[in-house]
Amino acid sequence: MKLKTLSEKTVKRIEAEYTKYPDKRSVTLPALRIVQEDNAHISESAMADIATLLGLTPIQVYEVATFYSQYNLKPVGKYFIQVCKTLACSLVGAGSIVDYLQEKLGIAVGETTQDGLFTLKLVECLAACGGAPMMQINDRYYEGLNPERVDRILSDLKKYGTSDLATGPFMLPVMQG
Amino acid sequence: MSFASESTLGDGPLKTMSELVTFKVNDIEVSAPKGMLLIEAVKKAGVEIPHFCYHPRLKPDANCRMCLVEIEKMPKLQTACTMPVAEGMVVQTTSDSVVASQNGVMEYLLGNHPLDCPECDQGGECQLQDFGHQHSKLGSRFLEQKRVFPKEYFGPLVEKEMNRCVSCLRCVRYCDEVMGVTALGSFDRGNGTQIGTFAHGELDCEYCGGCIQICPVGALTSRLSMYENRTWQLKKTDTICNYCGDGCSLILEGVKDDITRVSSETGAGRNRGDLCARGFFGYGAINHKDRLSRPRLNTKGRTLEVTWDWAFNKAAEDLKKIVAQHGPDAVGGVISTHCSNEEAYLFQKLMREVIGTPHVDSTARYGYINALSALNEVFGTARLSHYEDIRSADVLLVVGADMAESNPIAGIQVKDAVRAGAQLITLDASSPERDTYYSHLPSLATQHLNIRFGTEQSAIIGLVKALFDKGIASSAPRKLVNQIKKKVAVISFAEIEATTGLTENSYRRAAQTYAGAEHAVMIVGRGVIQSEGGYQNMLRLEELSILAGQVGREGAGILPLASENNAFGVVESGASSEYLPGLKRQEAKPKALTLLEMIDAAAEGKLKALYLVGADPLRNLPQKKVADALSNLDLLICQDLFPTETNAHAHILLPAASFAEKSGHYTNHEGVVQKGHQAIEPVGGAKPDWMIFSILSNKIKEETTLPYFKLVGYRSADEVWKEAVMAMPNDWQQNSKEAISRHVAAYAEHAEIQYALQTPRASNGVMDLQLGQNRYHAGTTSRYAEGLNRLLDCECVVIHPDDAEALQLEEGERVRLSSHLSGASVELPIQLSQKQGRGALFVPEHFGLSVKGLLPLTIDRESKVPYGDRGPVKLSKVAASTQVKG
Ligand code: SF4
Ligand code: SF4
Ligand code: SF4
Ligand code: FES
Ligand code: FES
Repeated sequence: MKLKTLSEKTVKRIEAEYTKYPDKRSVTLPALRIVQEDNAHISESAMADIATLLGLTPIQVYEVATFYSQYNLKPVGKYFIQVCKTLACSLVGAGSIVDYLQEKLGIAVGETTQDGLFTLKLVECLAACGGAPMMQINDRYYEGLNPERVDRILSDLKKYGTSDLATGPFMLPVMQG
Repeated sequence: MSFASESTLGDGPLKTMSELVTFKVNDIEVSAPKGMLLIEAVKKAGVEIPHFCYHPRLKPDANCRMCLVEIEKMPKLQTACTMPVAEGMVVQTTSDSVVASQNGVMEYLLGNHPLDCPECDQGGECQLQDFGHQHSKLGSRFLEQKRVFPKEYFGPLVEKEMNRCVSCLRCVRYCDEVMGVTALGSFDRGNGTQIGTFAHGELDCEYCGGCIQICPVGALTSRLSMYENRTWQLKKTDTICNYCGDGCSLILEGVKDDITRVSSETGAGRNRGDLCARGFFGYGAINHKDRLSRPRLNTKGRTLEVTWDWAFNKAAEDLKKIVAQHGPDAVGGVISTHCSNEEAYLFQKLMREVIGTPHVDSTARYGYINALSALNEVFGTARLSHYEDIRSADVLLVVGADMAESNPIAGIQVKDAVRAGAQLITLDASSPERDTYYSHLPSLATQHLNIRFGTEQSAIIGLVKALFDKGIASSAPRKLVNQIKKKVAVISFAEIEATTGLTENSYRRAAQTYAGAEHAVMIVGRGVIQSEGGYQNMLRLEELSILAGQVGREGAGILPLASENNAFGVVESGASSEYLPGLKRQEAKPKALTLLEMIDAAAEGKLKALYLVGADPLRNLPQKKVADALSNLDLLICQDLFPTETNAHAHILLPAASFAEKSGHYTNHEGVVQKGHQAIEPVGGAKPDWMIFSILSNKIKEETTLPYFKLVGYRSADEVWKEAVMAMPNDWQQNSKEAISRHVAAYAEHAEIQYALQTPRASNGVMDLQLGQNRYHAGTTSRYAEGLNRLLDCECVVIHPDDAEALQLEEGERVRLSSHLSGASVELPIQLSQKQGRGALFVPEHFGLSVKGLLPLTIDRESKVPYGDRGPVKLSKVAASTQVKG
């Protein structure tokens, strides 16, 4: 069993998950998460490695990886912007927030800015409809968006790496980074 | 591969469903076995429930929602594809709410479907067309754009049109549940869900064609028959696949005399509708442009095309001349194991009765005869187990077989059994790792007895010896048990380990599993049957099964795998030097010569005429020797589909019809006799072999120059069959327990059992080479099939990646194999495979001739089988400057 991409540390972390699940195939989700945490994104060769580890064929990992928008299959910028495009947000102007972000950053949805700072992506409901329109940047939520707030958030992030306008996520402990 | 849950496939679950329940569907009362799925059970009332994701070969998935029905007392509509019938159920399949839901599902499916039926190859056999027609309302509320997937290349044989996909996942499930290949998956999500391979790569798999056949729409179709025909224009003929001994039923489809497609019927035949790449994509050989079409004479250095009349007259005259001058014994004949039973029967009759020579043999002499005679010797029959037994066995012992390559459909029976919980023991020199998208039985095994290359013979001793601990069945004749016990006692496990590399414990564990099984089936492949010591090793395995009590009773037995489709039938029909029809031993005088002995006799000038039907000894035996022998003959008659190395030497070359062009019976390796039907008229001017034998017999007998069509004799293969069956013993297809144990008892009385441990071989820098079968090819005929050539069209040498790394070789790099024995060498590109045993090499046998020249030839003392597929070779890198580009 030869692995091409995963580090020993990543493999150890994945193996530590085995006991929590009835069979190895069920470890696909946590394995993908761990790889993303360790490598910032999940490359195809990393997926093939996961398959080798779990006794699957690579397509079985690929199916899962492409199903969840939470997995990044390509490298993303330092700040990973995910704008909610689902109903509540759409009704109150998510569309124009996206347009504004595209123009301001000079990138289309799915792209990363030249300086490697920002990646823009659309996602389904992030369960913060009360604060619609909203977006998530890395692990933080930003709600009640309008162009001015977007300007402030982006310039804060550029300058300080964080922004006071961050709100949630409320239910989860905020992760570092 | 997910082998976790219990199987719902095939005949498994229904066995326990004998209790009947009565229920009502659309006010019709029907009864069905309790627990049967509703979607199946209502068929009895003539009701069809529309469905997409349901398929009888697959586990229910209930993802398409097309099969919703109303069941009284249930709060909402239920999926008929998952609902078992129960007593008193009242089911409606046409009520308003059912119709509304069906309309809804159809509206969703058609919301995205391109409706490109006019150019879709599935048109006419599309479930979306059929069910759409019956269950959609006119019009759609969708105003949105339909999704459009970018066109993707999906490998050389499968056309993928994802815009047509209904996401039923039948293809994905077939590839995983049935094939155990798991090359397909569904990725992305929602509207964008599509079927494909890892990271949009080219499809790399066993190419069984199952996903194409099981797709209810035109999302996956065959590139081999694209845009050629509409299904309703095709004439469909049931027949039996001609490529291997698995005996699969398939349907040849064509227009006029051109076969353009192959299909199979779900559940039908020994294969239950499954096929392998050869069966599904291998039909191209039938109408190949290189088929021989007219009789030819080679005379005075010229090749002349002649009429059949001329050829028959010439053949008859020349044969008679030789008989008159040298006696009938100067004539010999060999027939191919691809011919039908009728043909084998007529051929031996032509040789033995019309010409009067005992020298008749078949290409089963290349190995399969070992299995048939060893089984017949001990059990009085070679019919000892069926696929049903494999599927219901609790232990399977597979010895010396790479079933995924040689016998893929018999392999599926093993996979099904493993899925249903059977323990699998494999014994061979392959590594238990599998390549990503190719199934490999040892990777599924409970125990893989990973022996050193070529040590099957010694490993069998290990198994027998280990059995003596607790495994001896009371049914085993004492005399046999005692003799074997004495013989194995003088061999130690330490010696066995030194040769095979396996410890005493491995043998003990395997022997216990095998002997402790309720029903075990032993499957024996070419690693034993067609390798050195084949006949004796087969006997030793049979004794193992007797000692373990795993033969001669319901559900247990032995299956000898045949690589050719009618090896069993041709021998049983009498085309064999030692057997008359029905495997009756014959004691001819002078002694009947086997294939190899005929070649020798020709070389010595004793045999003057040789009649080869589909046999190509130049490929299988040392070329120089055979070429010399052939050129020494006064008369060489060859009868073939294609030009071959051998028939280039023929004085008279007769064009034969392929299996598609004739009807006839074939016996697969289970011993099941099946009829193949004629699909098309013979290609060019070819004639079926049986007809040629019939006419030639009459020519010889009647000493006449009457036009051949007045001498036809038998009017049809059926007429021959009637006579051939009469020549068989009464009970030829039976194998009663009593008869078997009578034979075993008799065998125990006279058997003289020898155990010969092989000596451990030092590796001293050489590697072990094995020639064998590749999953995409069979013999050389498949090399004419365009579809199969797209999968593999050149010779290569397969090596384990670790060995390649150690030798600093990369995939595709050319290497030189050389033999220190013969001094010969060949250059070939390498191919990496995880399942290849370390230190061993594999070359597919379907290509060049020269690789044979590297290997030594030994001949079985008893069965006269020539073994030339294994031997030591040296592998060396080809210097970069001499590498050929491309
Ligand atoms: S053709 Fe290939 S992908 Fe399709 S079912 Fe067969 S093995 Fe799987
Ligand atoms: S390709 Fe065919 S079989 Fe596979 S999911 Fe789509 S419609 Fe179903
Ligand atoms: S080659 Fe063998 S396994 Fe494949 S379809 Fe033909 S008979 Fe079946
Ligand atoms: S719709 Fe945007 S957060 Fe729920
Ligand atoms: S056939 Fe029942 S849900 Fe698809």
